Amino acid sequence: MGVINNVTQEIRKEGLFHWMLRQLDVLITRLTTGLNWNDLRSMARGDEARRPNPRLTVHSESFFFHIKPSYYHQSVTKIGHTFRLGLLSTYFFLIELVTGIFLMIYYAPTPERAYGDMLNIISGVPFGQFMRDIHRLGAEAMVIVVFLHMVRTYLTGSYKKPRQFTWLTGVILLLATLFLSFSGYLLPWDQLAYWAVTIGGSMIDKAPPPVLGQTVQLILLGAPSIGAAGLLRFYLLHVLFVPLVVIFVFFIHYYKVVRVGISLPSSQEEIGQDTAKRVPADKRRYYLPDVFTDEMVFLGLITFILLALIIFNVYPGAPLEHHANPNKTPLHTEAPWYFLWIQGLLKLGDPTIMGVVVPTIVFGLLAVIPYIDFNPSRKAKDRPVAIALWMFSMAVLVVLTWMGTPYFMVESPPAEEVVQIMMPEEKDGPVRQTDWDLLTVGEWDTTADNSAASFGVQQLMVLMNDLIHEEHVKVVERHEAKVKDLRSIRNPTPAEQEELAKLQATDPGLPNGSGKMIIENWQEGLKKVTMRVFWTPEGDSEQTFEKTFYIHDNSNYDGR
Amino acid sequence: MNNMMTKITVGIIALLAMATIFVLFVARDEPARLPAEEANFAARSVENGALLFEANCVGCHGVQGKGIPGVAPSLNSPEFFTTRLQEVGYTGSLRSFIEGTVNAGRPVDSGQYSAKMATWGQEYGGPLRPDQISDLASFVLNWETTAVTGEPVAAEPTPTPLASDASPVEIGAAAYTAQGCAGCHGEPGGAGLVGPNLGGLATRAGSTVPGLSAEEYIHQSIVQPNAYVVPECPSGPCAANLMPQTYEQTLSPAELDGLVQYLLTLVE
Repeated sequence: MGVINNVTQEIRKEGLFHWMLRQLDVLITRLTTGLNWNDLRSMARGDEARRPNPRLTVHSESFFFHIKPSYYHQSVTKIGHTFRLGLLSTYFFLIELVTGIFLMIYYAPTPERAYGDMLNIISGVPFGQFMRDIHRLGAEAMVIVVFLHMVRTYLTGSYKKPRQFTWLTGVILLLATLFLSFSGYLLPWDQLAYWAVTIGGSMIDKAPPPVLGQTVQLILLGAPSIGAAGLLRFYLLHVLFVPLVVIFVFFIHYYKVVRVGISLPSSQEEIGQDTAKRVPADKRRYYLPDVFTDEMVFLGLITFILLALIIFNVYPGAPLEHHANPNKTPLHTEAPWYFLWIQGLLKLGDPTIMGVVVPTIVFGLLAVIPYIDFNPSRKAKDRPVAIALWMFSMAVLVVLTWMGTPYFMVESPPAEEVVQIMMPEEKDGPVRQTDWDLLTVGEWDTTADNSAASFGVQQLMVLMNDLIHEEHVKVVERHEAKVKDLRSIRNPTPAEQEELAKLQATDPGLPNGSGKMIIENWQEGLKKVTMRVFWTPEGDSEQTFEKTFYIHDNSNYDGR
Repeated sequence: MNNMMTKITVGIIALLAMATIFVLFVARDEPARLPAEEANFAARSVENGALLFEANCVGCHGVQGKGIPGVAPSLNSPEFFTTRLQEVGYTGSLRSFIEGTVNAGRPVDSGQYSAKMATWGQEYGGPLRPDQISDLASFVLNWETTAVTGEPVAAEPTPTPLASDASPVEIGAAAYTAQGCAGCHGEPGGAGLVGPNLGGLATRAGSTVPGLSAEEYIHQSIVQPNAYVVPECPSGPCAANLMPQTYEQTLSPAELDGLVQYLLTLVE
C-alpha cells in the first residue's frame, strides 16, 4: 500500500503528464544503460557530454558496447585508414546468419528434397529468391571484404608486433570464410553445385599420403563420391560447425584488436609501442556518439548498395541450374571464382602437388608472415621486399585465376562448342532468348535461303554461321601453333615426330562447315529443336554433330 | 555539430530509400513473380521430361507416345486421359498413376502387350531419379489438351526430312532414331539399357548363328527377334518376347534395308 501512496503523492505533486514523462525517461535510461533522453538529444546534436560523462557508463554497463573501446585515436577512425573492412566482414557475417536462417526454414538437406526445396523457395516462398540473392551476394562480398581486409593489414604492416596473433586468427577466419562459401555451394544440389564440389572433393582425395587423403575425403563426404551423406555433412558444416568456428575465432580476433588497438598510421607509431591504451586526451575520438554514428551510416550505405545491386539486377541473382546429375558432366566445369586460382594450378601439373601441397604452403606461409618478417619498420619505403612480394603474388593470383577459367587450355570439339554457345546446357543463350513464337517450324540451313523463317530464326542462322567460322579459325590457329612448336624442336624424339606427322595429316577445325537447325512442333507449347553441325575434312567423309533439346513457351532461363 | 547532423540525415535518407525501393520493387512484384516462376518451373519440367522420354520411352511407346501395337499402350490418346484410371480401378490422380507405373514398372504380363515394362525408378533398381520421373509425368500429362480435343497442334510432328539422295545407311540411321531403338539398345557404342548394345555388331554378326551371313542374321533379328536370343543383356540374361515382333509391318522395305545396312557399319 505504501508504494501506491508514494506514487499517488508523486503524481499529485508533479501532475500526471510530467510524472509519465519522467517514468519514460527512466525507461530510456535503463534501455540505454545510462543515457537519458536529454543525453541522447545532446549526442544527436553533437554537443559535449555532461560531467560525469554518461556515455562512458554505457561501455561498462552494456554487453554490446563493452566489447567496443570507449574511444579511439583520432587517426584510426578516418575511413581511409582501415576502410572499416573488419566491421564490414562482421556485418556480412550477420547478414548471412539472418538470411541463412530464413532459407533453412524451407530447406531439407537430402538429395530427394534439396532441389525441390530450392524450386519452392524461388516460386512458392514470398521474398524467397530475394533472400537467396542477398545470401549469395553477401557471401561473395564477404570473401572480397575479408580478402581486402587482409591486403590492407599487410600493406600497412599492421600484423607486426604486438599484433602477430591477431593476424594468425585473421588467416583462420579467411579460411573459414572460404569454406563457408564453398560448403554453401553444394546445398542447392544442382549441376553447378554438384560438379564444383566434386572437383573440390577429388582434390582432398589427392592429399598425401594416400591413406590420409582418402580418410579425410571419406570423413567429409561419407562415401567415395558425393551423395546423401556428403550433402548432410556439408550442410552441418555450413550451418553449424564452421559458423561456430567463425564466432569462436572472431571473439579472439576482436578481443585482440580491442586489447592492442587498431594500428596507427606507420608514421605515428613505432613497432611494439602500446598506443591503444595511451591515447593523449586531445587525440581521443569517443565511440559514442562519433564513431558509432560513422559506423551506422557506413553500414546503412553498404546495405543500400547491396540491395540496389540486387533489386536493379546489376547482380544477376543466385543461380540455380538443372538438378544434380552424376551421369552428366557439364561441358565446362568451373570452380567458384575465388577458387579459380586453384583450378588454374591444377591445369599446370600433378593434382597432389598443385591442388593440395601448393595451396597448403600458400596458406601456411600467409599464417606465419608476422613470425618470419623481422623487418622492424612498418613504413612502405622501408619494406621494398614485402611490397614487391605482394605485387608479385597479386599478379600470380590474377594470372592463375584467368588460367582457371575455360579460356585457358580447355579444348572441346569445335562443333560441340558452337552448339553450346547457341544453346547452352544452363542459362539462356541465343536460341532460348528468341521469342518462342518466332521459332518458325521448319528446317533451316546456314547455307540456304531462310527468308521463309521469322526474323529471329534468320538472325540465329547468321549467328550460327559466324560461330562455325570463328570456332574453325580458333582451332586452326591453335593447330598451326602446335605444328610450329613441334617443328622448331631441333632433335625431336620419335614420339614428337609421330605427333607432328599426325598433326600434319589432320585437317583441323570445321572445314567446309555448315549448320542446320530443325524446329518441330512437339506438344502444346513445346517445340523440339535439333541443331546439327556438318564439316568435311580434306580426304574424309562428311562429319556431323547433333544435339536435340526442347523449348517450352513458359520456360525462362534469364539469369538462371 | 553540422557534421553530426549531416551524418544522421544521410543515414536516415539511406534507410528511407532502402525501405522505399524494397516496397516498390520487391514487395510490389512478388505476387506476380511467384506464379510466373511456378509456370517457369512447370515448363522446365516438361522440357526435361521430353528429353527423358526421347532417351528412354520412345522404343516402346513410340516417338509421339502413340504406342506401338502389341508392344506398349498409347499415352497420347483420349482414352488415356479419360477412361484409363477407371479401367484399371485406380483411385489416385493420373500423375500419381504415371509416376507409380514408371517407378515400379509393369512386371506382370498382361497378355495384350509383348513387353513387360521395366522398373525405371532408382527406388526399384532402375536408372531414373524421383525428379526425373516427375519430369516424365509432366511431359506425358502435357499431351492432355491435344489428345482429348484432337487438335492438330502436335498430333503429327513434321518428321526430320532426309535428303532425297540419302544413302541406305543414312535412312537406316534415321530409322534407328525414329523407331526408338536406342530406348532399349542405347546409342551404338554407349551403354545398352535393356537390350544388348549394338556397338561392334557387324564384326560379330557373321559368326553368331551358323549358316547365316552377317546381313541375314541382322535382318532376321529385326523381323523375328525370337529366332535367336543372345545370352547376355546389360541387366542379366536376355529374355525372349521383349523386343517387338512387328517391325516387318511397321518399317518400309527401304527403312528395313537401311537399318540392316546401318547396323553393318557398326564395326569394332
